[in-house]
Amino acid sequence: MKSPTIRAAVVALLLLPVAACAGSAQKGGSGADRDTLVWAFGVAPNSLDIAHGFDTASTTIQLAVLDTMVTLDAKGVPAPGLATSWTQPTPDSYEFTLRKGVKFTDGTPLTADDAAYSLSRHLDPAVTSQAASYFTTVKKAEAVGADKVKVTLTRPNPAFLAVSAIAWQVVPRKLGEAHPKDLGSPEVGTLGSGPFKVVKFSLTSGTVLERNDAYWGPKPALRRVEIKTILDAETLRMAVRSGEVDGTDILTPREARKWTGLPGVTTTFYPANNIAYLALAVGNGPLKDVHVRRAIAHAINRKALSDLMTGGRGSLAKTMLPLPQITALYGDDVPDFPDHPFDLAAAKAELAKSAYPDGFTMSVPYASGTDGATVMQAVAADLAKIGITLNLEPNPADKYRARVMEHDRLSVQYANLTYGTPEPVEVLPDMISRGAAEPQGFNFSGYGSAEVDARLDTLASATGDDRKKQVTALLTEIAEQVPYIPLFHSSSAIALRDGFTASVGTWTPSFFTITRPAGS
Amino acid sequence: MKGVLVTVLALAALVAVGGSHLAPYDPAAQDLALGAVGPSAAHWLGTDDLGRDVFSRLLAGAGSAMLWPVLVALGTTVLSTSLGLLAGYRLGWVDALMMRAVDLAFAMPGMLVLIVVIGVLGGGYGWAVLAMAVLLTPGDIRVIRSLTMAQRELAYAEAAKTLGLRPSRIMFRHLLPNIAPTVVAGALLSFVVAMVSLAGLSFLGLGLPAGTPDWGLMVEENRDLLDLNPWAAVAPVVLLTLIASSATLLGDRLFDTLSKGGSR
Repeated sequence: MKSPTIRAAVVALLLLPVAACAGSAQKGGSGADRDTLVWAFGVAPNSLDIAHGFDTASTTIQLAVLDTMVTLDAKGVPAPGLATSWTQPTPDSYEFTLRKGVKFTDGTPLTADDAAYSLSRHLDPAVTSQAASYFTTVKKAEAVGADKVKVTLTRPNPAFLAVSAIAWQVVPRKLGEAHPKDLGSPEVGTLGSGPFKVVKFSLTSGTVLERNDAYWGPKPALRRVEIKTILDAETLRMAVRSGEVDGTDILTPREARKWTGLPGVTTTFYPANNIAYLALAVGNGPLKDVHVRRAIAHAINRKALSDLMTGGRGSLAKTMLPLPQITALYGDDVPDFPDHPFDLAAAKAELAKSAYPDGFTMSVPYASGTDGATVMQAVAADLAKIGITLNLEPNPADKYRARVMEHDRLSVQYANLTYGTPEPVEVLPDMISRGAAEPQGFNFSGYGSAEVDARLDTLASATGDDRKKQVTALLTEIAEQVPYIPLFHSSSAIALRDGFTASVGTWTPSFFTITRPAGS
Repeated sequence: MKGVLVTVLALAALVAVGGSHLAPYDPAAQDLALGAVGPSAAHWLGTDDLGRDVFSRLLAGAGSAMLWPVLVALGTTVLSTSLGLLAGYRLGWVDALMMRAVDLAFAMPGMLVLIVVIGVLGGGYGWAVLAMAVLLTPGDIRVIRSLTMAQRELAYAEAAKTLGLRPSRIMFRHLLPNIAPTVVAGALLSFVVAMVSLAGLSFLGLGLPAGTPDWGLMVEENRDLLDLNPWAAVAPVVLLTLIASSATLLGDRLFDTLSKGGSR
């Protein structure tokens, strides 16, 4: 998955074409017309409001319906959205100039007050926004003129614009205030100014979008998008093959071989902003010992595991950042981080230095039927070679996800998280802040300290080479202390029947705006 | 025909007992670089995506595929026969109480109960086996009870009562042999239901841990490999079907044979 952001969706520890119809009726899939796209997700979207539906499927629809103040260009650099421009009067404030003449799809003018409110609501405890963690540095957002919005931060935050491109989705103030808890639900729906409008939103029978002909930007080539959910991957593949479904993004590199040969279907792979890793709970028994953690890192054949899980459409992860973020920060000048290469002798030597020289036994829950089950089998087999026995405990995927998010009996967890921006500041606090080590946080290792929190605070406002140095220092510490073992980066992909084309990339905000009937 | 069925089940039992020793490879040994490949001289049924030998895993998995269902069948048979005899012979409040309990048990969706026991309550596989034995019991209790009620009215049972024999002796020494064909057929059916159900739980990821050589789990883990090595998923299905069919048919044959040859 690779769509916009949506890390929460991809806890995989945690963690779907108008038919070609060449020549004939110009119909595709189940769509009545060539400009109707039938799309399928593997998991149902649950809300049209990011505050209550910060997951891949939901956010993909939100970004087709709701405008954001800024967007990300093809390189992941913040670009104008609803805001035509912005200035930074002080390091900890921004002033946005709102695009003129924009209207919601009901004809109501979109105002600076709506824009300011749409950010402020994530700070309101009554809203209980799932995107609140993106805006912890926002002090206030206010309309300071008919077309001006000022955002004041508690401290400088270079990542603010990038995260805003995902989460600062603008809704009418009146609607939001009337529905703080249930905006975006099937009963309430939402109202946006984006390229599409919602015609139907049901948790069970799917979602239908139609082109917003009054959209201020480039009009989508698609007139209508019908979205359904097909839970089983193989059923979904058959649906695309048969033409019942025109496109999907729910295919993994491991399944690439099944998709690339499908007649009438084009599969496009592109770099995902993801990182797959093992989290070692540093507060749990033997895992408290850094020598044990290093022994585990040495004992796992990460290259073989990476090849298995990515089917050659990915790469071995050498540090705990998604590849696009590494590239955005370092370019081609990536530092050599401390590594623990696959080496059983070195693993045994590290274990000998620990309090568990003969190994130990540990219970490790995993999610049945997921990539995590495969990864943990491979890991268990590798660790058995140095005397560490992992007793794998199967859990239904939902139960496992809930258990991990509650930080309940964490031990060795596989996770595959996809992020939405090129900002390392989006990832590192998730990994090593003490706040994220609390339930619902993503610090599954529990690693962290007051000193690390202070360094993360400093990093949040650092720029230039200083920023690089600080990120490098933190990543080096992670590599040396091994609360996490980076495994692999994988590609994302979309599959489209031949009746459609799309030019998709890592920072594509919505598949629906970039998909068009072939030849149009 | 009966000889063929017995041979199939005997072979299955043999492999269940010694399958791990017969396996040409360590069923847990992985070769990630090899991955999933089709049958070859080295790997008769190919390998799965972790490079494990499918034939070895089939042999090693026979134990769990057969042992747990045998335990379920034994438990179900002992429970249902005892309680069915008791209810059918004593009648009165004992029968009424037991039949209401059976009615209640019938109202519970068996598979969902098992999923709750394993998946939600985290009861573990052993508890699921126990729960299955209990859940399969009520149906057999009703059958045994009705047969017992018929038998207790016959002259030989009346004679035993007239002679002053203890009820337990009458039930287990006199009535039981006359309902044995049904008990035997029921035991084999319980074995089949348990085998298929437990494989189903494993397929759902709710049974044994990942990596365990278990036929149901093999189907789940390898169903995405049909294009690379179909045998990895098909072979355990074939074996499950063969053994389940053989046990069912043998139950029918034994019922016929024992019914014809049975004596009072």
